[in-house]
Amino acid sequence: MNLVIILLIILSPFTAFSDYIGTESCKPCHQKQYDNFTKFSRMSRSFLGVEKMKNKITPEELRGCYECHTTGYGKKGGFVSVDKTPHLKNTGCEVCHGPGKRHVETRKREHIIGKLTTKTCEPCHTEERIRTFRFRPLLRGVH
Amino acid sequence: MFKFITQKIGNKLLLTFIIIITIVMIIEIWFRIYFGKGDRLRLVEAGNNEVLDTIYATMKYPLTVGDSDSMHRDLEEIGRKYKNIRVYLTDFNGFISFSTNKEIIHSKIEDVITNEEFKDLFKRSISQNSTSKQSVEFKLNGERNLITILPIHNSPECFHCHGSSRKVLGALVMSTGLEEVYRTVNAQRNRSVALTIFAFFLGTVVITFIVKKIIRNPLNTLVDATQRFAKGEMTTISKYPKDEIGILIETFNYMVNEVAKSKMELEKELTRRARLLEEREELVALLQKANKQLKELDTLKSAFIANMSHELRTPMNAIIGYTDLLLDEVDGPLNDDQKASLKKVSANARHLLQLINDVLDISKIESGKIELRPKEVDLKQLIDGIMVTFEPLIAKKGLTFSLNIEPGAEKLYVDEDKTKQILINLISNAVKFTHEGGITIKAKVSERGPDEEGNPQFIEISVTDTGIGIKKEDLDKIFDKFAQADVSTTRQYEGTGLGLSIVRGLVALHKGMVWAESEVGKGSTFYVLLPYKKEVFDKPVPVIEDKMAEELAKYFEVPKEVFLQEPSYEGKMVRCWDYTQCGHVNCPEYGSSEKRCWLVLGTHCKGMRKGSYPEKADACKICEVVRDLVLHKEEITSEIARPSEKEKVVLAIDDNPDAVDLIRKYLEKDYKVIGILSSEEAVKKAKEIKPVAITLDIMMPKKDGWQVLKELKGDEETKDIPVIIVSIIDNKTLAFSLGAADYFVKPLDGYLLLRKIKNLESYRAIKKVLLLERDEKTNNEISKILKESGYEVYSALSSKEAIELVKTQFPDLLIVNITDPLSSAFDFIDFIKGSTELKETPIIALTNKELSDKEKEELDGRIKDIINKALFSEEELVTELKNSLRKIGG
Repeated sequence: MNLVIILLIILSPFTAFSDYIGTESCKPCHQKQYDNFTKFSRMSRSFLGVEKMKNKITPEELRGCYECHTTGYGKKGGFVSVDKTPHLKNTGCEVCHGPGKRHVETRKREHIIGKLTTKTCEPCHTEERIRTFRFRPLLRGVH
Repeated sequence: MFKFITQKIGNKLLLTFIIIITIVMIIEIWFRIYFGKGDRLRLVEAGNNEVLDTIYATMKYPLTVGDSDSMHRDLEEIGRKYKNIRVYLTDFNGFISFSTNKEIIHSKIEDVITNEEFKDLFKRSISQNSTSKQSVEFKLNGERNLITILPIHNSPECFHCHGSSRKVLGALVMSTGLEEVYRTVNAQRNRSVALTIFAFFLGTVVITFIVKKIIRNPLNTLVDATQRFAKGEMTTISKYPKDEIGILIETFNYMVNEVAKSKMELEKELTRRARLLEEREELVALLQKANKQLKELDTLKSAFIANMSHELRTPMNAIIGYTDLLLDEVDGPLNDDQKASLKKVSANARHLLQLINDVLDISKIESGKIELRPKEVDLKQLIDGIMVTFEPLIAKKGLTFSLNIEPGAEKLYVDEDKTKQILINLISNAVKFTHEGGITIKAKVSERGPDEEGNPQFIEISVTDTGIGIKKEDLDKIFDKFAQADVSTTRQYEGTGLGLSIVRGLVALHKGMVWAESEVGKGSTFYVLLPYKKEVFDKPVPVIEDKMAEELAKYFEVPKEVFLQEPSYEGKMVRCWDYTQCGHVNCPEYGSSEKRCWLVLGTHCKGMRKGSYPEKADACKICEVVRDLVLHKEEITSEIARPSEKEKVVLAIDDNPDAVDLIRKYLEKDYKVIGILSSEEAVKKAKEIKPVAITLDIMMPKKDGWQVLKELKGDEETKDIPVIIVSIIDNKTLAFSLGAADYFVKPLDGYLLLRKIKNLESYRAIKKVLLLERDEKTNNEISKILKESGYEVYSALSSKEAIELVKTQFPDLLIVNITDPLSSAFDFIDFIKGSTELKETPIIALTNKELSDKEKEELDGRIKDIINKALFSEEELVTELKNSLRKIGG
């Protein structure tokens, strides 16, 4: 937990210049990718599990869940709570592609992460979890 | 109801079987329910655990990957497939997350399984330290369920979703309906019950059937047969099994057969007895008739003789009177020769007169014409009066005379004249037969013939002489009419032979008795009992001796009363002479109303020496009347049966069945004895049966033994059968002259009889005869006779000579005089006994004297006959010898 906090503090200067706007904002321009994502990727529904378990685990443990089951939790303009930021409650496009507020405003490629590597997935999809959940990262072929 | 069971063996068995079956089946059912249920439940529980584990294993993966859809799907499928299984997956709060029943998801498990016990158990199961599965049986909505709770523990795979703070995440609850199990157990129980009932009925039917077939039917048959048997029906059972009941039935059959057999025999016996009784009755009637006629005849005869004697006396008077006149030389002188002749005439005439007087007396006595006029008589005066007439003769013979009257015996109460006659007879006999010595008359009060109180009422007068004496065997004959003891003496001593007969008759009239004791060569004593009390004549009956009854009762071991009853035969009172043909007109019992001859003082049965107690008892013990008519009133008849071919038969002819029985007992070891009670049948039977020997009684009704013996010897077919006389009377001479093989006087010596018969059997034809006789004259005589009879005779005068002869000649018969003074004949007999070739040779022993029993014993068995030379004249000896030879088989 402490590690996460430290990481957030270290990473905050790089993300400070943009905010998270939610997956719905990508839909108008990237209709096809949005459809694929919402249809096939379980990440788009990842908050359901959190909701199921929220009463059965401690609030602390719940916050741990948020790190991966929400979009930009603990980051600038990221997920805060279901009430405050309902559009960010699932793991959306911006988790891998980075905050999209400036890209929506500028529509420029530079303002969004286009090339993704497995390193992008690793914060959540650790070796252990891959084995447990048997999933494939959506690196290629989806969009 | 219990009666129904207790009265029948089959039902008892049936009940036992049924009780056993029921007990076994109850135990079986109880076990089935008690253990069967537990077993089933354990099985179900094990199954539950397995299923639960399987479900958990199946759930685990979807749970770790969070695949709720497949979880729902899988559980639903289980729910569909297994109706009695319900599975619930709850969280630690008891909320159902997954279930086979979709509708109850999110509700609390306590609301679904509403049972307090379960609630507790569930709580315990999901508590932090519970580890294992828990199974428990609950009743839910009226149905029994087995509920198993499997707590789900947190593990690293779960941490992703559930965090790591909780140990138990929830529980897998499975409920299995147990109704099926109970139904199965119940079904099993029901099957057992059904089986029991089936076994009950089957057992009942089978046992009933088997019991009926094996036990009840044969038993009922037996019971029926027994009841029939009890009613007298002699039916056996033909069909029966081979088991114990069969043996019982066999025994029953055997019993029935035996009873039937004996019943048949009994009936046969009864008819035979009835027939015999009839015969006997006829016989008795005949006998009685004959007896009556005899008595009439006897009276007639006596009357006739009395009249005749009277008529005879008249001319005798004339003869004696005129002879005496002549002797007195009234009519002129006589020369000596004439005188001598006339004296002889006179003496003989007097003798004849005496004879006539005696005959007259005896006739009077016998015809009962004598009446006594008893009065008190002084004995001494009486004897003195008599002795006057005897004194000259006594003086002439040089004899002494003494009279000894004991105190109390001075007076008699008798008829004086008759008593005088009695004493004259006795004294004259004494004087007549005594040549030296003297005559003693004694009188004393006698113990014999006491009155009812036991007081003496008789005086015993004895006349003792030192004369020639009387032989023992003649003692009981001397009182018979015309019997002088020795025929040869008749010529020597004058006398009519009627004296003692008259004495007996007169004494009997006085209700007394007379007897004699004597020893040959030493003298005789005659005793008379005469009353001295008037009371003796007061009663019309003879004097009764009570003591006889006592003595006989003691001997036969029966109550005394037996001998106080009168002898009866087939309900009729009989007299002894009706039965035994004894009976003597002089017998005190004769003509008296008293029939109990054994009690009467002075009865003189044949062979009885003293007619009063105690000596008389011995004679009465073997008396037929006492035995047959008093002691054994019932007739015992012996069987007349046909013998088998092989058996040697001895024919016993005796009218007394007991005697036959006795002979049978003696001989039964070696011979079959056929008894014939009727002498008339004897010859016919003898022809039919062809016995090896015949025993013959003499005194038999209808036809006596002599007659039978004559007939047997006169018949060609039976003349070779040896006849042994077995009789109470002793008349060997007559028997042997008639051809009897031997003579036994009753009481019978069975051993001797058996040996005799055996000897008779082994006789063979005799050709060579050896004669050992020391007396040359006799030797020559016998040799001559034997040679004339066709025998080869070797005579020897000494035993030495005889032994030499025997060694070379081997005779078939030895005639030995065994009474030579040197007893050397016994050496010869010993030699014969020791020789193997000769020891079987028969011996006829000649003796000069009567042999004692001991001497006979010494001669043991091998002597075929003993001839007492002294008993026979020469002529008779020859006949006797011939008889013996004939008997032996020469």
